[in-house]
Amino acid sequence: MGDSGKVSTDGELWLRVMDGDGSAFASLFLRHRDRVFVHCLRLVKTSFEAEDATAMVFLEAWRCRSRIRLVNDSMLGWLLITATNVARNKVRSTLRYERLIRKLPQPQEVPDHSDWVVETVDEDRRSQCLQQAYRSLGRRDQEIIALCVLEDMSTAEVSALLGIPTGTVKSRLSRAKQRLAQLMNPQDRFQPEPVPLSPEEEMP
Amino acid sequence: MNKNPGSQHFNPERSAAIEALLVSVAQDGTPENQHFQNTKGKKILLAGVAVALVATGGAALTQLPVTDKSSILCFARAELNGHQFPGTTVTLLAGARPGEPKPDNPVPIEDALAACRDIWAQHVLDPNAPSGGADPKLFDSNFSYPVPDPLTVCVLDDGRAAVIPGDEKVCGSLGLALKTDTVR
Repeated sequence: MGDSGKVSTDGELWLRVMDGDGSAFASLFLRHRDRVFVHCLRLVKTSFEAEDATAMVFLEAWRCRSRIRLVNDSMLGWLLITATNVARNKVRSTLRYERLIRKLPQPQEVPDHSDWVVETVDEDRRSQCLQQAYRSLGRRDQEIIALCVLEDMSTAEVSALLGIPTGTVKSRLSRAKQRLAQLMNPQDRFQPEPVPLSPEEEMP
Repeated sequence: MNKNPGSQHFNPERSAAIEALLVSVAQDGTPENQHFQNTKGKKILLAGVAVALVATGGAALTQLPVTDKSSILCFARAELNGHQFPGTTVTLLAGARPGEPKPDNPVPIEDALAACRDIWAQHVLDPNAPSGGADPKLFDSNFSYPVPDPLTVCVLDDGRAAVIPGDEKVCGSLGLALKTDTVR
């Protein structure tokens, strides 16, 4: 909506949004909607909730419009971080935007999540375990995995986006992956101290 | 990880509605745009003065209503040293848009508990800091910092609310009154 000719960058569109250009805001929504939606699906239970969360992410963008951080002229990273926060603080976000969100069309019927889980687990049990493990992670772990792994952003981009050194990005990612692996394999969580070898066992 | 969980798609009807909503939000003067202006104008919580004077007068344990809502006190921990406390005072100011009459300030704080919860969630308070104030660099604009539970609303003898970590006994232990409707 609203664009003709050459494709505007996120930065150009956002400047227009700041000037009150609603069509530029709609263009940004359409550009990033699916990536934000897919990320929200990882964090909430139903696609309906993920759609609401996606809408709230863009409303947050408007509320925080003077503080949006664009990396390489893209606002996707900021949107994904905000999506993590919105999904984790769903109650507060919903309260803040309840009056706006309730005007959106309601689903014909709310899908029964348990049916969906059963189907999907049959389809891909390991993927479901991973999904659940991901939801159990802390905010910072979810954030770093979303940016570095799921969205394939470079260490430098994530560093610029989060305002932390590249070394910190790498160590945070490494720890997040470890925690994810532990959640996927809970039996590995509490490993006993390795028993020192007896002198005989040490002999070749 | 699966990059497309459940292979689910955005409902086109809802997408169109959100698109229209965002167009309205960005356009000056629409009700949707106004929603944000109102929110912004009325929620300026000023957390100031890490250590403030408290007029307790050594009140005996009792129950009182809050009669002065012009400001509240958010305690970082249940401690009162004479007339000083670790924490912050909070005042609510309303903003005026251009061309509108200046509103009466400060705005009465009707829900002291909610206001102090917001202050905690922004990591303004630190129970381990002598003053009760957290390092400003740790400010959490996402309101995700954990809020102590329970928090109790006590009443100073000047009629202001003081929100203190702890259960209902905390008011009496500091020589303050318990807010009347705190009792169930």
